[in-house]
Amino acid sequence: MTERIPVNVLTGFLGSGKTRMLNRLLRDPLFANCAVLINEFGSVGIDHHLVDQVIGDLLLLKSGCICCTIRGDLATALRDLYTRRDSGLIPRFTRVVVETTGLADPAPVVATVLYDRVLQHHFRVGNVITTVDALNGAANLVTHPECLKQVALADRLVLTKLDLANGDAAEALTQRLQAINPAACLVRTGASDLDAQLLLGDDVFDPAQKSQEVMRWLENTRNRQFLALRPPPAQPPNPIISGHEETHSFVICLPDAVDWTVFSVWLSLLLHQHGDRVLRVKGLLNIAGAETPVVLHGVQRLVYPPTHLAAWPDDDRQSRLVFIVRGLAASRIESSLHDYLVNYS
Amino acid sequence: MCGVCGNFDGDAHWSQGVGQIQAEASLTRRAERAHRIGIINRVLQPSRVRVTDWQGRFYLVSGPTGKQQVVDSLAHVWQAVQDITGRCIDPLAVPATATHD
Repeated sequence: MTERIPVNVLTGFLGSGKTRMLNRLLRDPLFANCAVLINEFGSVGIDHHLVDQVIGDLLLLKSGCICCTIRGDLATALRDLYTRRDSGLIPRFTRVVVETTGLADPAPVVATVLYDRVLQHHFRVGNVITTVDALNGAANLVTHPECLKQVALADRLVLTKLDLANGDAAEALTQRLQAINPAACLVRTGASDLDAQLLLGDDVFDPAQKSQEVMRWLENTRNRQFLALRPPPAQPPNPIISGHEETHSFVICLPDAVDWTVFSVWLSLLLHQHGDRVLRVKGLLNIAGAETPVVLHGVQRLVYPPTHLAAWPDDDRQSRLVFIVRGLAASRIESSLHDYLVNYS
Repeated sequence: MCGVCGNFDGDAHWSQGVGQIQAEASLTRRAERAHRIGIINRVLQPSRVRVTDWQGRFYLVSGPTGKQQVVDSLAHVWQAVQDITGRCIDPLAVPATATHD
């Protein structure tokens, strides 16, 4: 089977600077073999000097990049793009970037790439990049659940409009973003160039990059409070729902090797019952009997096919799981996992 | 499609396959599946629902009143249990109890 083409999702709330960032990225040499799916050309305002040729609904840019509008649904747009690539009508792009609208939930885009029976053989999920406006981001996180979800689902968080924001406010927003999604890599944009390789190229599903990427998000979570797995507390039990709908994250550390079958039964049941509240789960698992770790990656009820690392990224052999949840008590998830691993392994 | 029984193969569930890497004592697909079904049945014991393998490809979920559903992945097992019993199994609500078959 030929190597599958990574699909990056570029998202961010209305006015958060997605378009500006896309315009900057379009000039990057790394984008030479990219196809960009956008909602309409007018909204991106592609510099006409960049455009080389127009073929129907496609713009071929001088850099070799292809811009295409999504006229119907995403699956059809991706299939059409692949067919044209395969038949030689357009250059053989090696990456796709899908730009969502400001109010979009990125999870269905990920689901389309992951589960569409045709697309899953030709494409794979790449990084989800979310832009957050340093000026209005804090307010948007409070008032717009769409914004919060875009942040929770991100692999890369790009803080934009830093030149317009107050320094203290930007710092407070940075801390809030790291609290919501500690595993994401935070990039602060300024007048300098964006690191397109970091934003788009390095992802956990790229065999050449996955070890480095795992190291990166382990490092991001290193300063977080780890919840050591412990037995469930005595009476009264912790409430399942934490009483408020706040989105929060936590890390669970498992010192012993895990029975994969027990773990997967537990996780599938948790996601079946509470998938709409488990915004993200990311983890590095020490599987019983295996020499090397397994990387787990899930977005709500979607779990990507687990991937194996060739070697442990550091000396720590504990399993580490990062959860981003809305309104679920961390202690209940922790003690439930403990119950299952102890009682069913 | 299976050439013998004519069953179409479905999408692989994310939970499948990882257990098979377990070093020298690697589990075959069938053994991993049997192990998974054993664990599911222990989880489901309080609800008196049983899951059995059906042709190595599907799960047969049977309720205490004789209701049955055939489903094709682990994710669908939980929905079938809910449909059959009318109750949800919440891993966060019900403390797991050890049962030893």
